[in-house]
Amino acid sequence: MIPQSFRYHRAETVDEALRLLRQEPDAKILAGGHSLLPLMKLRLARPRLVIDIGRIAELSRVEVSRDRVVLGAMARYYQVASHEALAQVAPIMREAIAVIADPQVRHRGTVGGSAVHADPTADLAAVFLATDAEFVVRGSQGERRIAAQEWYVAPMMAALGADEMLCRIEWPLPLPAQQGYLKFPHPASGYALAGVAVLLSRAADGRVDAVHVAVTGAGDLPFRAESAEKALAGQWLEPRVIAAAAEQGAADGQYRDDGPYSAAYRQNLVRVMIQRALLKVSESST
Amino acid sequence: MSQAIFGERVQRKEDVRLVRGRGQYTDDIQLPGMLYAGILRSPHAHARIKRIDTSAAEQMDGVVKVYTGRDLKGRIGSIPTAWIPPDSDLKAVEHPALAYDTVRYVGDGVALVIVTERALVEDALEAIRVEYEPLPSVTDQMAAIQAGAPLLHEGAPSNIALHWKVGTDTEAAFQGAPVVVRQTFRQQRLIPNPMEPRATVAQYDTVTGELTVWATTQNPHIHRFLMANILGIPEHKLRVVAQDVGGGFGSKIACYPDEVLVSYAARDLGRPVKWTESRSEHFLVTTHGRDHVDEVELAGTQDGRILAIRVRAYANLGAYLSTAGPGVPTILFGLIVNGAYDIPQASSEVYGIFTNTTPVDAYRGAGRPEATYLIERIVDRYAQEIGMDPVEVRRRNLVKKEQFPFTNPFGLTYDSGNYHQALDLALKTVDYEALRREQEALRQQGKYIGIGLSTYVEMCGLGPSQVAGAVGFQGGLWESALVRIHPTGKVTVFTGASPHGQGEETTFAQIVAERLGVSVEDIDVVHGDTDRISMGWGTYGSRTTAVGGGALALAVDRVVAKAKRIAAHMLEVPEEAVEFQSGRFYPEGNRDRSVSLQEVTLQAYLAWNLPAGVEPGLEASAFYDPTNFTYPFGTHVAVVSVDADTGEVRLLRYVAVDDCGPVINPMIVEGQVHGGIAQGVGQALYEGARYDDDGQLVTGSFLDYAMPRARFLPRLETLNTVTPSPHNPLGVKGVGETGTIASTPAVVNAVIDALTPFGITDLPMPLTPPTVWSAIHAARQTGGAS
Ligand SMILES: Cc1cc2nc3c(=O)[nH]c(=O)nc-3n(C[C@H](O)[C@H](O)[C@H](O)COP(=O)(O)OP(=O)(O)OC[C@H]3O[C@@H](n4cnc5c(N)ncnc54)[C@H](O)[C@@H]3O)c2cc1C
Repeated sequence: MIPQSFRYHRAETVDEALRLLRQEPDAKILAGGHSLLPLMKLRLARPRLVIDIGRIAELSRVEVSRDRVVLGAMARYYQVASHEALAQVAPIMREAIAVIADPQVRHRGTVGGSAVHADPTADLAAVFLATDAEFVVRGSQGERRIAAQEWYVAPMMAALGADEMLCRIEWPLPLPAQQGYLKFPHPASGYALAGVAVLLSRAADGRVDAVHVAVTGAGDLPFRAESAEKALAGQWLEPRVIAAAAEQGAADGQYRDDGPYSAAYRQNLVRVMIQRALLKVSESST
Repeated sequence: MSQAIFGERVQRKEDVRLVRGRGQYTDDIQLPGMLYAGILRSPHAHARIKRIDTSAAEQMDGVVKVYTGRDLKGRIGSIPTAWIPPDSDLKAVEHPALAYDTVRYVGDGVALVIVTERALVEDALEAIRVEYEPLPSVTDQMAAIQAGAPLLHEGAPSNIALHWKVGTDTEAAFQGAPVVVRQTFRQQRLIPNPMEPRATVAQYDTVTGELTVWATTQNPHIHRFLMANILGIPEHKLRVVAQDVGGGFGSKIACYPDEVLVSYAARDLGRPVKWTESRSEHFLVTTHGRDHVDEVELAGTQDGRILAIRVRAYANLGAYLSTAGPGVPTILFGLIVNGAYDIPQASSEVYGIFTNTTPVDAYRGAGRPEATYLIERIVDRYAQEIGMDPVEVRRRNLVKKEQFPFTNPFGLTYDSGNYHQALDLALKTVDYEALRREQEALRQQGKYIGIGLSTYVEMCGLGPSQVAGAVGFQGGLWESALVRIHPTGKVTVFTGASPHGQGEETTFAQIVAERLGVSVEDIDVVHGDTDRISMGWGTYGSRTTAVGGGALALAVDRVVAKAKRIAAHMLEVPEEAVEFQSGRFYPEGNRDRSVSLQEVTLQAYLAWNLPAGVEPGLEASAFYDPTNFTYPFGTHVAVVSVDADTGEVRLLRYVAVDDCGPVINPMIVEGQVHGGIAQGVGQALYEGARYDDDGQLVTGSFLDYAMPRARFLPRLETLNTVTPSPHNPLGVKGVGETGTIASTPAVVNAVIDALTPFGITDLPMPLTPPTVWSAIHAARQTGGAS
């Protein structure tokens, strides 16, 4: 399959890329290309201009400071997963990236591409939600920050304008220390049929101090399972408590029948996966 | 067979090029002045073509020609089926290479574009405007035979393409039977996916009138035969070449409209033309497999004796009859539904049905997986019904060693077997008793594992030509071989089989090496070219080694016989007094004097001093027609766990005991069995084509169609028993399909066994997490196991 013909431009700076985006309404940013190029080959996407941001150095940084993590939009999965300082403060990134696709995809695909593509079955969607990531986008009006909860507005649609670019993804530190990502892959695509990210910290007496639970894959959109978080707040993580929280958290999603995967199946799967993720994380060391 | 070359793990000769990326596939061919073809495909499952406007496409730069169905009507013959089962009232409906009036499935070709650059193909296709008048469509075979269903072909009332009945009278057995088990099985439609999609390159020599067609085919001579007729090209002016072919699994048997169109255009335009299928196109138009609804009844006694089996099958054939399409659900299925069991009465009745779907043809196993699935599943159902261990029921009914050759109720003669031995070996390997205890213990903890068996037999090594004729296959099924020893003693072997991944460049070299005492490196195996091989029938139906290898053994023996006469002359002893061993000829009982095969060969070519009446040269050919099919058999055991909360099935262990007679190369046999099991597991647990209500294929890519992955499989434990076939020169049976045939029911039986506490007795394939979970969920609601 061969895409419709298009112009290709490699931008050297973010400003140059933004200028091109404004000039050509049918333009697309090219990051790792692992979502965009397949769509173009199937002619489901037909940009007239492709703006390659792969050489813009500022977009590829990964920084971990005392109180903040900064991931450039162009940071590639493998680069993020092999970052030791990041693994100290946010081990969930490494764990989630390890189950994305295959080594080829992980060497090309970018965290920003995953975020902007906003596939409701993308693995990092759950992680971004659970870590309360902030998406820093830039447009003609300058930069603005979008909270993860506001980011995923519709399937395959993120909250940035057509003339805006995602520059980096940030989150404040510290994060709850016990972290984990559990995935039930779709047998065909390998994307998440259900993926659950959990961040957890406990008080000295063992009760839940903070817990973040986010779900990708199963619902119409990735979501925070807030009812599960509420049910767990201040509790000891006994199996009964976890089971009840999982049940309530699963009910936070919006599900629909899709092929062999009914809404009822999806909700049940989320319940089971939240339960298992919580068990796994609660048994993990900090 | 003295030398240890037959039976060795010789590394695959073909891999030297294949794993280094040096294979030469059809799409690798580049010819000067080559044009590129694209085929516009119907987006409707059923529609009338009102108008096609090609003008915009024709005006595009780089577009050389656009053909529509109307342009080609009368110039290209109907694409025929090559299998007409007798007494089936087959409706051999027209299949135009491009639809000119009605499209009958999503993917049916409506126009052909020829452009100067590959990159222009899609643009040119998009520029063609077709006006359709959509018609009601039907994709399900049960719906297609209902009164009032949309009709595909005028000549096929009720969409029935064929109706075929065979077997004995089972009525009396059912009347008096103490136990009757009935079950309807749906064996879902599968989409074969070899690594290489299909491709064709055609080149016409305007001076000589010769057309060369490089194509991804499993049977170049059959292609030549069919295409000569379809295109009206004299057969001696048509050359079909299968270079490296990246797998087929049956999907590259058929003669498709695509290669015919490309060949036509190359001749019409006098320039080479290439067409390469995209993967998306492959999903839509390359033949699919299976798609049966089987109503099965089994009659038996309370103590485990099966008295009769009766099958009524509704086979979806798709929109047109593919090359072997009608033969797969009849001959290759209906004659063997009794499986490996000695069942006194058996009958099959088959309806082949047209629907608005991709044509269905052979897919690895072709008919025999369907037969094996239903018998192996119904035997388990029967065991459950009478409260007997499924192993015990099998033991009581398997054909016994002493009964071979065994004639089944349909008149097939199973050549040889020792079914109980394979069963025992498999049970011992898995430690069946221990597994049953473990299963019980786990159930107490609310965990579910299941053990499933499949004690299969299949018919392959297609086959005796006389039988081919009797069952309506419009071709022979013998095989040819030519063995040429060159003056220096190096050997080239030409086979009419057409391996495309199975490894016969290696195993055939082993057969020859063994018999000639020449090293494997000094033997090349040539296949897949109608100009280099006079005639052959190709590779499918696990026939290559049993039939092609048989021909090869005979040809080698002829070469040796001739060499012996020359050697006798050189050694100055009578011919009867010459012994041949490990590449040397000796006077009987005398190891002091000898001549090598190389010395003899050189003399054969120099011809300075040949015995009277012996012609120069050293080569021989053989055309071997087997007297029977071969019947590989074995026992497969699957052990699965079922996650009751998610419905996920995991394979914990898989033990395969296969008997394909003497093993030429264990590594290659294991490879065949591994791949076959993976595909059978695919059907059991993952794969399944689905159409929506408008006849759109909704599983048209790997995002939705789940091919089995390596991570879905445990380490496969493969073992062999060896029961030679008595009727072919090597005693070998086929092994290309056994894995697929045996594994699907083994896995499904295991899952159903795991679900026994829930009262679940059957589930439709594929046993996906939602399918399994929904059944468990429903059972729990009504008070099944918690
Ligand atoms: C075989 C395969 C398997 C996969 N499996 C998984 C999986 O299991 N889990 C999973 O999560 N993902 C999976 N993916 C998707 C993969 O993670 C993609 O790489 C990722 O979703 C997109 O990242 P990219 O850098 O390739 O983006 P691209 O394809 O380059 O871009 C994607 C979209 O985002 C836009 N975009 C990219 N960067 C920016 C930016 N900075 N600003 C504005 N717009 C931008 C592009 O214009 C485009 O619309 C798979 C992909 C493939 C090919």
